Amino acid sequence: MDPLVDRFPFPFGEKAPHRYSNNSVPLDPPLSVEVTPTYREEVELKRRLLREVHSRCYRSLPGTEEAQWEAAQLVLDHLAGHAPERFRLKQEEDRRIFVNRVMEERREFTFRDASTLPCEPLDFAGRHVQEDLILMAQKDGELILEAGQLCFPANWSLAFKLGMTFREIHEPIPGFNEGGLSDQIERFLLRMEAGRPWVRRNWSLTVGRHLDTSPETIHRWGRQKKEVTPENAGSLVHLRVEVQKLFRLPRSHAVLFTIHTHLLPLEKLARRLEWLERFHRVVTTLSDEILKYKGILEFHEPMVRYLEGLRAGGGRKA
Amino acid sequence: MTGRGWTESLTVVPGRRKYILLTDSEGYGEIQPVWESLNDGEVPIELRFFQDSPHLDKGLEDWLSAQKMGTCLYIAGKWERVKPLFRLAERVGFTEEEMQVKGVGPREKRVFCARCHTINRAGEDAEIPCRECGEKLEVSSHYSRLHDACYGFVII
Ligand SMILES: [Zn+2]
Repeated sequence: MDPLVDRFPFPFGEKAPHRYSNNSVPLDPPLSVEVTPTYREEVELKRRLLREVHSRCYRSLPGTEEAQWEAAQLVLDHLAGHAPERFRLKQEEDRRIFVNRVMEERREFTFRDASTLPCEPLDFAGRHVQEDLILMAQKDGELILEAGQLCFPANWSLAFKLGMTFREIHEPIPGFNEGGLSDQIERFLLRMEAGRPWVRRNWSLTVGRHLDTSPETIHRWGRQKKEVTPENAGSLVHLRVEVQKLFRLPRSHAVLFTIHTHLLPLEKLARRLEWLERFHRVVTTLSDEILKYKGILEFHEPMVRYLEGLRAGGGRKA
Repeated sequence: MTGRGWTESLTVVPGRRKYILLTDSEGYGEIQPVWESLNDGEVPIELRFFQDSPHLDKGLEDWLSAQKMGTCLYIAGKWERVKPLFRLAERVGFTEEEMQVKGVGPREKRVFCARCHTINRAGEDAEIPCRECGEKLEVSSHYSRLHDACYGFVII
């Protein structure tokens, strides 16, 4: 038993030849956030990044205030609902009292009065959850990335993608619009209704236990990819899964994405034989184009040799 | 750059209610044949020269936004001049079908450094060093309208 393994959102099903699809399913229970045993550590890391490199981790365009308040209210309310022994949100008309017992903090503020918070509402709410928060406005039948708090990106730049449409954001993904998939997902998002949230999982691989794999620091974490060998792949290479939860905000009509990133080193993943088999099948059937896009190409060969050594030995470490 | 009105060469589209031709001295060679074939004395046609900073020219913006639907707009000139003009025309409501834009001469690309966010000016090179942080960047086609720049991946 290992809590990290037990609660890990392993993303690959039984028949899992990798292809892009609209893999969203209804979210049940309909909670935007989750508190895990690494809450304190991750929230402290987020806050440090926000303190040191705020413009990299937080961006918003003018006109997003209403959507931000809605998102902040939803996130804090869910947090209190999910873990009432650690978080509280008291509401009396526009007055709010938010209590975070883990961080030993209490904040009083007035809903829709920006002067009562130390930072923008989305930025404030994000400092109390492990999730990254992304707001997409819906305008003239298009979704536009208009605000976000992003501390743990899977190598994408909030600063660069701010203001882009859904289509523009995904333009670099090879094969993403094959068979009109990107259009299909966009139509799905545009039709999302308030009160009916969705969840999807997205995966990649990270070398080293880094939640902050931002393009701004790739000169640090990226170079570790060249150090992977069949001997150290088990501890160095991590399966990175983003659990993305999607909510329509009823007043602003914006879409909120909450993104919770989970990391699991391959040596732990391999303790479950069926996970090892599925993972091996996925990484050995990806095209070079996808391997390059996902940043796996540099260490693919030693990683696959590591996995094959394990499979030959029945899953146990040699 | 092609699409959304950008074109490799200007083509004459007859039968519109009015034509507007905007150019600088570099673009005149592109505009002249269009002017000659459309200027038959029957359809309204106007030729205007623009200067270095069309986005500062409030008169031009007012004039363009006063044009009626169905007006056909041709723009040709140096890249850095036609880009803001194109955006201005888009802003005042000209659609893809109503305009053709042609950039002339060496094309300057703006490249966003993924590491430090500096905008670099580059030619047609596939790789450039960032002038601020020195990181080697791979120039991609991933384009942001907000930054008017392409994404520069850090090469590790
Ligand atoms: Zn740079």
